[in-house]
Amino acid sequence: MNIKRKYYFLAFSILPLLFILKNPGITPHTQMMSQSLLRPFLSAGSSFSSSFTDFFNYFNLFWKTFEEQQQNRARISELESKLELYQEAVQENQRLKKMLDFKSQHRGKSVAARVIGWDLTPWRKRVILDKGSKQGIRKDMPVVVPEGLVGRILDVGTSTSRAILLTDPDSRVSALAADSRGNGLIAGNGSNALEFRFLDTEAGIAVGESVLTSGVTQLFPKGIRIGKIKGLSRDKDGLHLTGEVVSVASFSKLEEVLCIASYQPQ
Amino acid sequence: MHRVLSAPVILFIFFLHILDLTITPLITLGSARVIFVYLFVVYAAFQWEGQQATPAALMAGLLRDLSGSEILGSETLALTASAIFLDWFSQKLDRRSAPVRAAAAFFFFASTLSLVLILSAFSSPENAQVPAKISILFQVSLANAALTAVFFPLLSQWFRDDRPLRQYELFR
Repeated sequence: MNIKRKYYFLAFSILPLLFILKNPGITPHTQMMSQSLLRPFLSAGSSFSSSFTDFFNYFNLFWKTFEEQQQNRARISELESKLELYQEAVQENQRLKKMLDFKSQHRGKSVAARVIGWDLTPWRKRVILDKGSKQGIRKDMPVVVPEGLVGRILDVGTSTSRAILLTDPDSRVSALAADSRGNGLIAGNGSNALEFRFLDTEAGIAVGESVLTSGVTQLFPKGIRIGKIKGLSRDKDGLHLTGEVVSVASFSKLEEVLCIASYQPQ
Repeated sequence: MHRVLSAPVILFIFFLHILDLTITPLITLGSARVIFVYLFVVYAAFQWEGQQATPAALMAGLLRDLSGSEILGSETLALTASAIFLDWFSQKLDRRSAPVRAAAAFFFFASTLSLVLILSAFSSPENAQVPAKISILFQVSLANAALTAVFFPLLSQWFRDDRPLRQYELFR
């Protein structure tokens, strides 16, 4: 490749960025539009990844059946594939039932969605959902699972949307400790742990307390479970405490979520 | 020799991109995860004659920009700039040595992700969280560099690459 051609490539690669820096608002619209186009591929990939994770979950089970397979290979093989399908269906049934129970617990409006993709940047913790504005998803809707809060809707396309998870470094949620009622801010840091920041040193917050949304901002309604305090340490400045919070939701196993328009806990 | 701008290679890059969106985020070691499209660009630089990493990087960058959440254009620029350097650099190295490939992959990942990190700071400078992101960047680069030992032979089999030897390589 001659040197001139290289410069053409570099110049061409800078053009989109220069254009976007001039019109920053266009980025989410373009990305959501292209994600809508990618939706069939993402759905296919998601189904494949679902089977892939199930394979790992049942690896031990498969190993045991493999021994029996030596005696009756043909029969066990047939049963094994049937069992796999059955267990997947049962698991999905249980998950959806749990979601349905949760949905019926509050009177507000909500939309169930399936996770079909994940963000490409390693430190971003965002997921692509298979529902968009057509199905009633709106920006900033809280995203929950039966265990508790997982994030909120960041961008909405016509048939897909993108949610930012609590573990994303840009995520901030106002929260309070359930017993001591100490207020703080739940922030992500790109790993699976959450940080409970800016806690008053005199608030009497203890390890093991549950953490709930405080409802201070309009984004998240009050009282949604977030996690439990695992540890407490003093800030660098010594003025506040920072808690390490273990989320009640498992972010690496997100498959179906509920996007809620209004939340009224019982 | 493979031309990057051929239908099978473009489809292959698209396939890897879909894997990056749907499957690889579920297979993580700590915060490290595989980025197949980046690995493919490194593979093109080392395995294919004619410095083809740059067009591959441009294509991959455009795809990633359109379906990612970084500021549009940042992945394209970061990947292309790093690939130009990698294309130039790979000509000067022992391209058959696995440790050299792994080291080049490490620096390619680190430089590309660093550029993305710098450019993404424009979109949300108030929430930069730079130390945490640098730690993830380092883990991802290291894990993917280690994966070159497995991924490159697989790709070599898939593309049936009989890499033409250079004259000086015949006398090793």
